[in-house]
Amino acid sequence: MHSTIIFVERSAPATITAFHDILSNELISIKEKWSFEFKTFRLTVKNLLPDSTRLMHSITLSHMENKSVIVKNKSAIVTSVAQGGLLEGLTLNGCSSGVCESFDNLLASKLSNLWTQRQSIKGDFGSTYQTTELVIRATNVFSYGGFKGLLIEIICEDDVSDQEFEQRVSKIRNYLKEISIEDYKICGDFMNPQKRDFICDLAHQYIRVLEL
Amino acid sequence: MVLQLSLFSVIDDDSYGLCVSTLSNLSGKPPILYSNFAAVLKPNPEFDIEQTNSKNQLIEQNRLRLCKAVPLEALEPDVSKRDYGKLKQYGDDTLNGFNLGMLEDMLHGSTDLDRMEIDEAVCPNDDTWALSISDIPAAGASRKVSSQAITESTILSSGGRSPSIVSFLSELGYVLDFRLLTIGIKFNMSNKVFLEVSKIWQVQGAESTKQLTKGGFLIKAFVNVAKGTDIKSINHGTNALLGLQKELSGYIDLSIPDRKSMDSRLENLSDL
Repeated sequence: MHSTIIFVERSAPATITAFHDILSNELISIKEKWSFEFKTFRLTVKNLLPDSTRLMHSITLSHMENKSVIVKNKSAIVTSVAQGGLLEGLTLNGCSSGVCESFDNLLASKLSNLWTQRQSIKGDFGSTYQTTELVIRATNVFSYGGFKGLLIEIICEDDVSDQEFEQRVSKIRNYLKEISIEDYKICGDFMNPQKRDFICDLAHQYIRVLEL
Repeated sequence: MVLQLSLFSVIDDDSYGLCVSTLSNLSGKPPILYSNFAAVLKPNPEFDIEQTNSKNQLIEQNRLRLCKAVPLEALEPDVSKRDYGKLKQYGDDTLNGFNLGMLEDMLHGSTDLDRMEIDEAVCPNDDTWALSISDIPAAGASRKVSSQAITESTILSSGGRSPSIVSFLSELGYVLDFRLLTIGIKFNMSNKVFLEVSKIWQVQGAESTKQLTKGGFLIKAFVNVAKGTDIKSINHGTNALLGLQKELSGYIDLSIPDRKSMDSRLENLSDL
């Protein structure tokens, strides 16, 4: 699995339609709608060392079984509000009561003296395009009702080399060029290149392009 | 937020056998052996943490409880038969033959690659932890059962530069306080009441353990109510617990513990 995120800040709400049109020759199918939510939290502790980071990000992806990844300082956890089967082992062994909340809720309720939410960026009702090579998700991004830009998530589910994936991504970048989008942020980095972890890396890429 | 209604009691080591057969008869089912490992974390004492949030609401500093199931067969690899009778053998502070290093690896991430593979074979793909914060049980002299609100979230895995759960939680502002290993049996009683008979050890590093329940077993009867506003279920659960209390009275006296002993707030250090 490979992934890359593109965020086009200099775009209009209609840019997504132009992107759809230019992709349409490549499309096999249009798949489910998707959404994401990106939140930034700030550590309120006063006596931190001056060079340490205060920001923590949480990203929730509907197409990843609604899992959330919480990242601070390149350290991450994957959480979920999933009920049932997953919790069964924990419940049987007395670890869990079987009723879970999202980690964001935990931060907002029990840890709000340590962490304050700074911003919330959302992409709702985005489109998923399947091409022969890639799964591409695109959505307009809003922050508190104001339009922020166009976000494109590119995932390759095939087992291909990094170079091959690069090439497939550059094809998409050429399409963007055709609709005269050349100024954007792109990230395909890994959180920890020694130990790749798909969902953590994906979250890392979202954070890199979305953080201000 | 879950509301946990509970009643507690204790029995001594010698009463265990009879207690298990009595409870098995009462529940109509044999007990289930379970074991879990809990790491309790406290806010980093080096941090100057505000007592209030940005809305100026008072927020108590609670400990975090990070808990996951540890199969006994992984902890104690050489024993073949495991049932409730096993618990009789664990009377001491030390847990001979237990692989306690595994618990450390679970928290901090194994550095030894070979051992990591073995661990994965024993506990397949299970990096899942339950993370919970418990409030102090509700006050009031007229209460018939202890009721405690628990906020909980599930952590599926951890990753990144130093991919251990503890390193993330230290970024979150929490450091390890103490670690507990619980081995016990569980009965599924009528009316959604669970009854646990357990022994608890404090784990101090990879070598040393101290039994907190020495000479006896902790008995906990509880009902979880998914919503704190669900009065009907709360009443139902309370009555179910009181029914069990009545049924066992004279033999095991289930009672409400001092709420301070179930207080996870930072200021409360006296009992820990």
